[in-house]
Amino acid sequence: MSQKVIMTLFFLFATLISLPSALRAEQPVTVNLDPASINISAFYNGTDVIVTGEAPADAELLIRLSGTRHDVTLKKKGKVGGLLWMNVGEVTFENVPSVYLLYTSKGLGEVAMSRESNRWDSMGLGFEAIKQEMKVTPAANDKEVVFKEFMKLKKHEELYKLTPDAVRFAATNGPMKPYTATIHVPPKLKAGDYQVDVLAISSDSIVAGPSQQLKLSQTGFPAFLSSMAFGRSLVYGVMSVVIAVFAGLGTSMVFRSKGGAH
Amino acid sequence: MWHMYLPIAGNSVNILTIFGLGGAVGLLSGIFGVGGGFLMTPLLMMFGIPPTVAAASDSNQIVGASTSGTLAHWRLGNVDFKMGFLLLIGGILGGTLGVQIIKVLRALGNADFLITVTYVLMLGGVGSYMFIESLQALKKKEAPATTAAAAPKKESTYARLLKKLPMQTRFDKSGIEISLLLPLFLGTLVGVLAAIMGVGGGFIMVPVMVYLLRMPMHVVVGTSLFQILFTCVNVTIMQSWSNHTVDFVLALLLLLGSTIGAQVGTKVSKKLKGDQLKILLASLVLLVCVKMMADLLLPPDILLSYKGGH
Repeated sequence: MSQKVIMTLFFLFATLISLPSALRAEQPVTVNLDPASINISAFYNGTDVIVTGEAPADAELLIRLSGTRHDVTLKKKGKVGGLLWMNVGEVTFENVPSVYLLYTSKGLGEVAMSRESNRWDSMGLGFEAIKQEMKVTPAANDKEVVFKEFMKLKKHEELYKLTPDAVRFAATNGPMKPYTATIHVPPKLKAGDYQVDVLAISSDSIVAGPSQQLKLSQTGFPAFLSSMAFGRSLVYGVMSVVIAVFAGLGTSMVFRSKGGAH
Repeated sequence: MWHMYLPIAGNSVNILTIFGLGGAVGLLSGIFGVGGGFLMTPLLMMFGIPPTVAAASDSNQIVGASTSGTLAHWRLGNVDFKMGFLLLIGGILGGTLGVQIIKVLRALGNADFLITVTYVLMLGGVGSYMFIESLQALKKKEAPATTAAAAPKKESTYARLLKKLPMQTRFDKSGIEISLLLPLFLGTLVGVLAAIMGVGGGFIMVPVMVYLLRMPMHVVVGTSLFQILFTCVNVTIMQSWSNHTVDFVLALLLLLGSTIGAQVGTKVSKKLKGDQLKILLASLVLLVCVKMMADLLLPPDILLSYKGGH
């Protein structure tokens, strides 16, 4: 019996330390994205991605959409002279994901939203994971305090968000059950590559499905403008000004002809 | 379907909202001869546009609105091109100088505190003075108000000093005779202040033209727009060239509204008397001042923010 406990603990430990790419040999979680690549065209306003697959019958699911890690420098406000709130310096957050969207099944969502959220945090699944992996400079800043403000900003922008009860299960099919989740990709997600991970969490183990890539790319008019703005910035600037001047002239002419009619 | 994607801002916006926003700010521009960046930038940020992109795209939009507004005011004979050019030259000199001054200030430390407090005090001072002065003028003048500015009763020391300056020139549109050096100097001063405060300067320029150059209010509005046009052409090109922050889709949506707003604003402006215009502008300046004071005094919801913007 003790051997079984040790084995279970070993598996749990192994999966925890090697997250998010932890895979059991038999790889029981399957993941499929539809679509796996998104085109950002002129009238794009975000879109939905359907995540489907199969997970162990007894597991709760966490789907995580994360962006590349980068450094962000922000202005920090503080009280000056004990009275006025103003910018008092800058804080850099190193190695933070540009986006961190979490979608859970109902049971896990309840854990994450409840007082038991410590447990969820200690598993390295929630936003707490970001705090552990990031670095704050200048180091004089109280990491806890600035991280709390950082989370407020990111949550306000809806770039870090937890959506409980987003994953639905269909009837169990032997040891496995099919799942479906609709992930809303907000328009604020810029073109680039994002990673989608699915973690199946049961009482004694965490199992990850294979990481999937979600690709967002600008097409058509937005792609053309972006390439102009970054590739031929002077031409782009002059063109923007010329069109604005003509728009002003045009409107002015329309109004004059109207004015003449009175 | 009513959304459009902004490739540089990296977000999508509702077309009608942005069109309406442009219209409202363009209206203010046409009435008062200000660019409206003080209003537009924070509003765009509320719609999820990064501050640097909001400020740069707004200046692109102002190019359209001020072209439209300048033409409308020019037809009414309200643009003093000679004065506008002199102020503009001064403004460019001042802007360049201001950028250097701010570097020195930043190096000395505590610059932001000094700048913010000066800005709020200045807005408060100018706004209150304008408000009281035009209120008294409105009360006193039973006769139809001429568009004359401050209507000084006695020849002030300032007026006598002005007459002693060399290179006296007649400005026909404004109906005044002053030294060429004065608009050059004041333009420089406003340019320095605008660069330091990080604003367009319309708010400072209008009172300067009314009280220090003693131009009639209606000519002030038209001439200010003419000047803003050139300033914003410069800013737009510089921003797209060195920072890639101009979102043309955003600017286009805004200026569809603002060019119309500027035309309507000019019509409204024409119907109002000089003192009425001044008192309305003074109220607007005071409102901005109160808003800035509130921002300074009330604890912010989030202690962190992105860089850029006003």
